[in-house]
Amino acid sequence: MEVTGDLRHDETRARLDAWLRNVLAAPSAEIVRIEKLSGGAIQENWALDVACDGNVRAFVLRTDAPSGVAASHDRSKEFALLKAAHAAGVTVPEPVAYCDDRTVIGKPFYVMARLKGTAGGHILVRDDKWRGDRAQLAERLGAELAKIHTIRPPRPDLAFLPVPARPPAIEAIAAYRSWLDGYRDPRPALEWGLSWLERHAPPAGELVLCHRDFRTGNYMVDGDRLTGILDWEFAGWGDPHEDIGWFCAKCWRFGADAREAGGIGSRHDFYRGYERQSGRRIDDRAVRYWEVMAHARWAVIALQQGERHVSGAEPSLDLALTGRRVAELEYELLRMTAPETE
Amino acid sequence: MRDRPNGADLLTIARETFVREVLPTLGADRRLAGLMVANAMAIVGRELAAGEASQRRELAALAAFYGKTDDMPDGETADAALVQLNRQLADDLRRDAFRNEPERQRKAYEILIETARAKVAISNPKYLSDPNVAS
Repeated sequence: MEVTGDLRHDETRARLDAWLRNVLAAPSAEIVRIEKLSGGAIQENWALDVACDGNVRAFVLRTDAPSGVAASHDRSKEFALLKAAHAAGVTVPEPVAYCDDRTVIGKPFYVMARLKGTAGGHILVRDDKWRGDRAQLAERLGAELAKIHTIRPPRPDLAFLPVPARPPAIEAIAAYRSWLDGYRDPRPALEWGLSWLERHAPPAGELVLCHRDFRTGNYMVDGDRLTGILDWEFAGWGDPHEDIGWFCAKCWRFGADAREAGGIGSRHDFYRGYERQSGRRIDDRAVRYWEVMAHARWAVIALQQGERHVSGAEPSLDLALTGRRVAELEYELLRMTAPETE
Repeated sequence: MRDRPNGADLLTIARETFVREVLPTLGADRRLAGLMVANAMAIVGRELAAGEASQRRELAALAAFYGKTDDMPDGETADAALVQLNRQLADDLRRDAFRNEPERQRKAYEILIETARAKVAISNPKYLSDPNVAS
């Protein structure tokens, strides 16, 4: 069978209608609007409006982009993570169903509820656009992260997630070094940062489910209300401070550097939300360590994204410009690890 | 001899025209692409204006660091030498070779941060003028 990658194709659409009828257990389901959503360097996202039992329901269909980042999960795993988060009370788009059958659209995909609002980081951090209470949003996000961290191994539904044999920081450093070994050019600034991180690595602590991309740009806000945490593709067992550090790291404040929690609120409000929900104190020193790691990690990811353009696999101005962001990430990494701070 | 206007002149006026006359006409769905185009053109403009000066400084600093200052290479040989010296530094840093040599550690750091700063001056100079970033 000829399966086209374009979901707007009539035959693909008809197969998708049939699949939706089945998973929604509805006598009728028909896509009345389908549109490819922008963004998503790793996945393709399609907005679907589905007429079903007299209502129009809003869904997102998520599937693979032509080439992906090495560290991301396939769609079946991402769907399992979404279900686990939903069950733990995390505010996420409600998972609908996963489809492994390649005869439907040509590749695996899943469908979830479509949330209202915007995830745009630059929009959320800008004073003239934001209408809500920043302190409340920061606190709420802290509480959401604490709920994610209630998910702990062992979990049969998440058995595909490797349990780190060494402290999570050491695992991360080894993974980035291994990637750099295969990269065309030497990156001494990154090596400097990774050796600093190795010298200062915290010992193994309790393992929790880390989202690993919990940051401004990956949650949806509608008006002044959080509608959901997105992008579960990097999640894995790790140190809870990793997520807190990633959220607070300067490289994820979208230029609003004074608001240390993701460019949208104060670190204090974010920590308070986390601590109230979890009933436990955040180790600020550990968070600062993971903020250094955040810059090393983002630098590696930016190199990978730039490489997708440079290699010719996926020519894209967005990816190309991300490649040129490595310099400022390395610069910040160096600033955070100056010899005086040893 | 190149004809005038040269490539840098053309790029400058092309970007100005794009930002003034094309960018404001783009709908919301194309605005991000337009901003990325303007940003890329600005980076290329700064890269052309800077020439090879920072690569030469980086090469000189690394060559001095590794005591290889006699007969400094030029052109493509310089590029290859720069990659090779950076590879050596990356390897040394990977095994934390200067851990017990604070002076050498400090010198390596100075080279790295100066090189990174020169790259950011091309890719995103606003980052360096940020009041939250001390020089």
